[in-house]
Amino acid sequence: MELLQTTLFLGVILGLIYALVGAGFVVIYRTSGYLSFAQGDIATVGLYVGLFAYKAGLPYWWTALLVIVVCALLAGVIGRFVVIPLERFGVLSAVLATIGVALIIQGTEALTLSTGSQAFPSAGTDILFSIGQVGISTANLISVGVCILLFIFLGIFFTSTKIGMAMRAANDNPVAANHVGLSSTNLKTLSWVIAGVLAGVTGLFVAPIYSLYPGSVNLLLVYGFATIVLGGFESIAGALIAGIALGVLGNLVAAYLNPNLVTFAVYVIVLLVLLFRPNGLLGRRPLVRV
Amino acid sequence: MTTQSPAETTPAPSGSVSGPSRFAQKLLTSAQTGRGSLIWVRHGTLAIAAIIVLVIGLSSSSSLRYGLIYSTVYAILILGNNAVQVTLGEINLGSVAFIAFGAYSVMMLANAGVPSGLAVLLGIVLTAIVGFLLAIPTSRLTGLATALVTFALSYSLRDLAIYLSPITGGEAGVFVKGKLEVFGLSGAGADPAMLIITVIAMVIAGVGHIWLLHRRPGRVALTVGEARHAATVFGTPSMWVKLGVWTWSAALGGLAGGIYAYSVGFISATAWTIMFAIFVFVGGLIGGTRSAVGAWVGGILVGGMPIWLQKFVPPTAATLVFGLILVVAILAGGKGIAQFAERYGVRLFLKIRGKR
Repeated sequence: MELLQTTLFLGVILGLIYALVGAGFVVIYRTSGYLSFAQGDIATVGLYVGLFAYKAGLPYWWTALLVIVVCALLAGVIGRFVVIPLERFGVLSAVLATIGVALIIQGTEALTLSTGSQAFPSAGTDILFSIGQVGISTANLISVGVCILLFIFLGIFFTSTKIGMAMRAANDNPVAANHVGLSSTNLKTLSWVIAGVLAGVTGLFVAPIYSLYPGSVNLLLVYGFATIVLGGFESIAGALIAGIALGVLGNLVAAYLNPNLVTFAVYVIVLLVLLFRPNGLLGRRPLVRV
Repeated sequence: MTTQSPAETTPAPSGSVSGPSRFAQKLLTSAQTGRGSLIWVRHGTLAIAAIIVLVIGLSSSSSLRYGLIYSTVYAILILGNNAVQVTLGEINLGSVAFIAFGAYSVMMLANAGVPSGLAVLLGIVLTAIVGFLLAIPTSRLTGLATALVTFALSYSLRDLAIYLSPITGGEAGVFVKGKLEVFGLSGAGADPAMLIITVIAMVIAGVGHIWLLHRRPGRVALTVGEARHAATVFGTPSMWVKLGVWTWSAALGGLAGGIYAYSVGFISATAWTIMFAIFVFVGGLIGGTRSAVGAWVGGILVGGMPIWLQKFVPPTAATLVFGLILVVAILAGGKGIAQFAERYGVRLFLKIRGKR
């Protein structure tokens, strides 16, 4: 019973991080119609910059802010000047461009930085309180709080703000969006910036757990992909629910079967969902006027 | 993108165009589409590439030779991956599963005392069967969904191999006993005979790739990839064609795995990473997805270069170059070095012919 309780609780915390990775994909997908394979590497760049600043004496909270700003700027630059211009060759070319960018970042990091793991500071390791056998640290509490706040923000942003709806319109009907004066390039760049912020926040939660090395945040890419496949490519709420479900399921597989079967379980889930519910469990089938 | 429009695959209209310019049009169309009149030129360049690899490999140090063997293993895998990409227009990031299955099958058969040639043959057949079974659900998907599923498959492979460590040896790995004995040759590791065997395997795979792409099977597969519904309406069993392409791709993965087992001599779960699959995919794009020689060029870049440059830079730093080339390749239309060279080669040939 204790094992189950611990597994479920830690699964929810982990699931919120998966959900955040998934939300980063959803933001770009909603505006541009493709996914970015470079999210993890963008986060790594921000984390390395943050780590240098932290070692130079910058306080943790300023470091965290610096990581987020660097990730947002880098993602904006990559989106605006590399990926969005390549969309003219098709959506799959844009996806390939994100793989290219990810390789460039990884190669540059390997060439210029130590490829070994480096410890990254966390928001706090003190145990504040316990739920059953699980001790909740400051970092755990902050990650849960920040994830929930970000999801509330994204939900309101895409459904109730003019700019959020304009971003959806830019993908749904680019020609009509241009006719009413919306700049699809600017809106897509904004989606990259928001995805960069989400990548930075995810990196801040992940780096203290897995430590920092080139490609360390990429460990979560597959969970992010699985999250949006499960929750629906365009659904922020779907990403949240699917992320938590995936975190819990992964922890149950690790606890009761074998930790090495978790990624295979993710593969099976992704395959089954895409076969039988291609728009995700919470996604809607796109309506086409005939 | 690498997927070509129907217009590109349709021969240029002849109409009132007279002799020489019609000939020129045929050549230019062939260079553009990677199919058609230049079939014998493609066979010729494949033979020349094989001779160059053999001459360099047999007259050089064992480390350079090993790099060439390893590159050629990559090239065979790239050929298989390209088959899915070029005909069905899908992004397959799961090729590492095929080479891994091929390598493990051959390792187990060889270590059980099965003759090496037969072990490789059985490895190819078993991998093709696994590829066929995996393709039954995968080929129902398209576009981004195929990329995500195959990504998840490659990602899970290392953990799965560790989970199955009583069979696979896990991260500690298993040595492959003996040498590969085929075509009257016997080799392993960086032996000259191993290079010759690998090059022969690549040439056979390359000729198969060219033949399939230029003849009816290729035409049918391209039609299914470009207009599945239209193909179905005209009586083509689209699903079987897709399964066939995936099975061919897996069979080449099995061949690559068998040669990998004997050339590397040691199989560990740590080899099967998502980066392996991405490099195979990138190698195909850089070299040119429709070209057998292009696959070899891609294999040398992504397979050999990190080995040869590791004295100067960390092997992982080579990804910087691959990433840059990938972005440039997309900018250039995504047809790769081989098709770029073919296009300019034909133009040069026509220019010289015109002057005469």
